[in-house]
Amino acid sequence: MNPDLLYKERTERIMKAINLEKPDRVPILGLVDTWAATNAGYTIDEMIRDYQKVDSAFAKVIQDYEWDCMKSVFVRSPGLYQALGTVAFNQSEGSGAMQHQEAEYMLPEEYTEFLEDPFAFIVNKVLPRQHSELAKSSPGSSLALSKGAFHYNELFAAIGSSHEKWQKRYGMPKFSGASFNMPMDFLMSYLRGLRGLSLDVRRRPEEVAEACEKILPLMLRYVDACYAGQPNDFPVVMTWLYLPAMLRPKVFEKLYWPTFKKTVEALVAKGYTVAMQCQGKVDGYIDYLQDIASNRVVAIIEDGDMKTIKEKIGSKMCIAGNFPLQLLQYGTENECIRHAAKLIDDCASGGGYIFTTDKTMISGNDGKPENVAAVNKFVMEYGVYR
Amino acid sequence: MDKCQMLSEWKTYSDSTDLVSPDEVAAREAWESGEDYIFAYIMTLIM
Repeated sequence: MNPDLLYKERTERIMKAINLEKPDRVPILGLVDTWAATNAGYTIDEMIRDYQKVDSAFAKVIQDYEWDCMKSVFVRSPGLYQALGTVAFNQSEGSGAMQHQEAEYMLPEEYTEFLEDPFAFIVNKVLPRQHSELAKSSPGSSLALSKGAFHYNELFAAIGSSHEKWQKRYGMPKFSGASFNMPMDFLMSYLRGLRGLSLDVRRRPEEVAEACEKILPLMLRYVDACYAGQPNDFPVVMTWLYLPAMLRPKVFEKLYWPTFKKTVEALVAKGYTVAMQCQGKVDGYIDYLQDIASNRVVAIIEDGDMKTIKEKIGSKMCIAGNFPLQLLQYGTENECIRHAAKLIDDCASGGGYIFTTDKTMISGNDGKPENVAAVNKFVMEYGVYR
Repeated sequence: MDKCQMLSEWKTYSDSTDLVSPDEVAAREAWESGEDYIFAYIMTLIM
């Protein structure tokens, strides 16, 4: 089919699901990251150091399997981190994937300074702690920022060119137009670390709540700055909910939920669709999601009973996810197809459902190619709405 | 951004007239792209 028509058809299929309508069939979203390298016969290290390989590896994923939409190219540039002397991200010796090193990049006694001017604090305190070259005085730090900008520009130019090719050559929409963190997830991941934040929620909950309020506008601005063009309902803006599955219900309600709700509502009000990859079990906070009534929200579920989830939030927001990567890698083709059929039976009724995996495919062990092919082919046939 | 010494120094550096290497040119282009670009770049560095 003509790529333009294919792009239109796929986008409409996804949008109908997001709008809680019934498309012609259940759309399939590829949550694929560096798994693309293994699929193309590269190591992750080889791929992320060569943007031509990134481009060809993702093109191969698009051509090898049936999808309606692919998340987006996401690659961390080793060159960028080398230029900055980064300690906050390093490369896994085993898989070659870039990993974030969680640590306390903000000390507990620094909340007051952070609250006064969060962005200035990030530049003046957090950046030099995460990147050793930025701890030097100028011109050392200026040169490092310049080299970093060179790699940053190169990376995003390459990603933009790949996405353009997805659309023009293969008629493949990208699902995500920008990503961000919920305020408390940001506070945990990049400032206080899980251990530090766990202490803070007991010892200084007011400061945690205030910090989340201060992070919220930074995240809104970040989305606006990264999204190409004016806010739109597609591609979506994506986030990963790390903390909700770990927090006690009272802590979730008091500290996570207020800015979570405000962030989603603010982004939706701007015109974006928000997709949340809900890590871990959603049982503890699923009822709260009912309050974010919108046909501009997608909940990608990692763990939970999908039938119950559909009953609880399926009339409020599009649901997706829950096909286990572990099964995709280690299950037989028949086991995979049985599970896909159950997911469709539990979730597809009435529309508002996108088929995808429970997590993003990162390592080469996140899905056996023949199972991915068989499952996607099956969903295309079994997921037809009649 | 006004309170960020590192960014002020980088801005001064990017305003130098004799920048020639690709890294140095990237510094100038970054600042010419505006504050949203700088903001997104800095936030991307920590995220």
